[in-house]
Amino acid sequence: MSYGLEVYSENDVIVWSSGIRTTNIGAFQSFSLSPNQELFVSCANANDNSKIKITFISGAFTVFPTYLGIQIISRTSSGFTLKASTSLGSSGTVIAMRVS
Amino acid sequence: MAHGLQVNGSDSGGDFLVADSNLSLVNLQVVAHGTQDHEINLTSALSPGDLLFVKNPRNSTGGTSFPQHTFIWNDGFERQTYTSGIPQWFDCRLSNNDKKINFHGNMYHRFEGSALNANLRLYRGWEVYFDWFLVRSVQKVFSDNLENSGDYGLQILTEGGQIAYDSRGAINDKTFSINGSIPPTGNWAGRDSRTTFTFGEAGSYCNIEWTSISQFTGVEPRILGLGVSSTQAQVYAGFIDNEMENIQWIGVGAALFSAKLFTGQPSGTDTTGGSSGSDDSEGDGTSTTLSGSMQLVDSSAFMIEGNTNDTITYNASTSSTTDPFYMKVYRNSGTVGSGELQNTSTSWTGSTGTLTIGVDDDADSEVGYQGESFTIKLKQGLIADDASGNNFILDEKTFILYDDDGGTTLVGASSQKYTIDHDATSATVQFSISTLGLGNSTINARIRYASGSVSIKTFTMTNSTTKSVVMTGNLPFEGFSSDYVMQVWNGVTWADNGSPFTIEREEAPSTGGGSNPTSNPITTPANQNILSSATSATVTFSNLTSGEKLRVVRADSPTNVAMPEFTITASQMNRSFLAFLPNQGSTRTYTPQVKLQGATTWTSKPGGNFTVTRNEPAPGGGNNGFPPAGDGAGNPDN
Repeated sequence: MSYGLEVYSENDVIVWSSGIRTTNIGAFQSFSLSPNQELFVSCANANDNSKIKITFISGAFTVFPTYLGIQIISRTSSGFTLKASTSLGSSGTVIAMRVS
Repeated sequence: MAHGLQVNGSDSGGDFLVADSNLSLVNLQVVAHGTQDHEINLTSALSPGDLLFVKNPRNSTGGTSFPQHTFIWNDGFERQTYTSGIPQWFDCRLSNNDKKINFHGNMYHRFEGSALNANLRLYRGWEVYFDWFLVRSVQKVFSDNLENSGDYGLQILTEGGQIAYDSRGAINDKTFSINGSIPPTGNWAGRDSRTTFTFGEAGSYCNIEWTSISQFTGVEPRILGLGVSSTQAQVYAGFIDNEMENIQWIGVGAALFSAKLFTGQPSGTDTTGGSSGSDDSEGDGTSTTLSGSMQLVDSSAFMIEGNTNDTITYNASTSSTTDPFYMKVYRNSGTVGSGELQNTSTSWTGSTGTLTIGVDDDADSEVGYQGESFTIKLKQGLIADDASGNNFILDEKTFILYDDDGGTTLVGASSQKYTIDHDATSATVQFSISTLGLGNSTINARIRYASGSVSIKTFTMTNSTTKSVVMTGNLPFEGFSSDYVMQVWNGVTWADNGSPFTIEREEAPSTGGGSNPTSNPITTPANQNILSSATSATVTFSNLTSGEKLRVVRADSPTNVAMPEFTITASQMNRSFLAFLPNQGSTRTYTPQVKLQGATTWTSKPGGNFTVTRNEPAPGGGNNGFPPAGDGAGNPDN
């Protein structure tokens, strides 16, 4: 390369540079919401669907997801808002992946 | 950025962000990988947040067929068998404190008996071999002590002081790139409705770690599995309904990603050299990125015209013949009316779809005059609004709907007409507007001639109020009237509102050549005798002034007009009149009147009154043409 930044592995292979797409975690936050409760999660560029992909995982591997009924009700450039359903509490972890 | 380090990158696919210490981003690293493994033994446990990508399912010898498995069922009436060697879905199963992972294939079959009974069978015994790799946050790499040793290299910290990137976390030569994703569906999708995910590129891996919670035991056991090919993945998520002997398929709570694994830097992305790596995928790399677009077919209904029902139609075309899509209309502004828009969403599977939106007029102007904005979106999936809200939007179009129902009425006008004095310099007209959906908004309005399109007066109106508009120009001439139309701006054009209205200017009174019409007396008609059976009387006015207007009323009751007004055209004129003639044998006195300049009432014309006398009938009948006999002298009726 003629300019920029490169990181080599121990085998002299470029594994990180301005020519390699990376995936970063933009937000990784656990939550425990009572019915109808909302939570704002900070995440830059959350309103750009092409950059930020959001998913949920339970706190542990369980038969039924503990986040059942959770919804993302709004997205902004600085984060997104979770809301539990009107009848169910919801817990787990939300992960926002930045893919570009 | 405010401070710190930001690394931007670019390749043939465009620009992208590599790192930014100001955005609290934490890098994901490939921490383990392998080819054609049925069992994986990790150094540290699979944890929530890890992504385990797999592709290319094979049997133990590298083939794609598996040992045949046969279900046998006898319901007492007949014996049925089902045999297959093809897994329908795959999952991963954890053991050894979540450090050991095994891949398995599964299938199900539902027997239906002749006696309306059924039997559900499941098999989860196939050992499956996958190409795979595991990604994990660099922070977890360090907390699990997987990083390389040493105190050199590059480290980026987040603004919170946590590791965003550390070159010691690159514990192998592998890199990966996500090329597609599908959000959690989250909601119940209904029986036999499963999510299908088309990869961003053929030959990609798909994450499967979320299937590790699959269980087949207990009450309402749940199935979680991934059906995978070289271009697509299908979610198998559902409950086993023991009573119905069936599977209730549901949405999945996990997002799916498609990704490719590389050794080092993907080839072709850096033309300046360096250590180019290789694409580990076996696919041909042909992009199968899902795409779609919408086309407006008919826009005539963007203006809702009174009592008109219409439609707005959008066609959609997509790049897939197997994926589900939907179109849905979302309101951007305004208020929801009572059903102007109907049929606002549709879903389908395949490359074409059509949404015909009903646009109905219901006589109420729910859609405000400034227009209301809607956006129709083409999305991937079967569910209109998935739980995560981040499903693919393939295309979107915004349109504005207008309604010409104004709810405007004219105030203070009789039969849509205002009357002004002959010399009035202005006319005041009043409008009342009350239109649903407009709130307290102010709208622009104007007045034009009914026979033309040019604005002659502009003003603003506020909903639910009465507006007085003073017109100082473009008023009719004396004795004439003009018709006008009030219009409002609906956001696109000036729309007529309400019925046309009229302004009438009264005729000017006679001016007598500039003199006061009460200062030039006329010569009053001579007193008249009419036959006892006469139906009219004719009198002669003299010393008249042209242009003046006269009329004649009963002297004893001036509101009774015996002779309607007429315009004087000569100095002497004969006029007949019919009304209010005297009875037989009686005399009635009449007064000529003229209207003063600028006045709306009449006044007596100088010159005096005159009388009309109707004769008594002659003895024996008939008319004698003479006045009553009085003392009898000179009455020819005698």
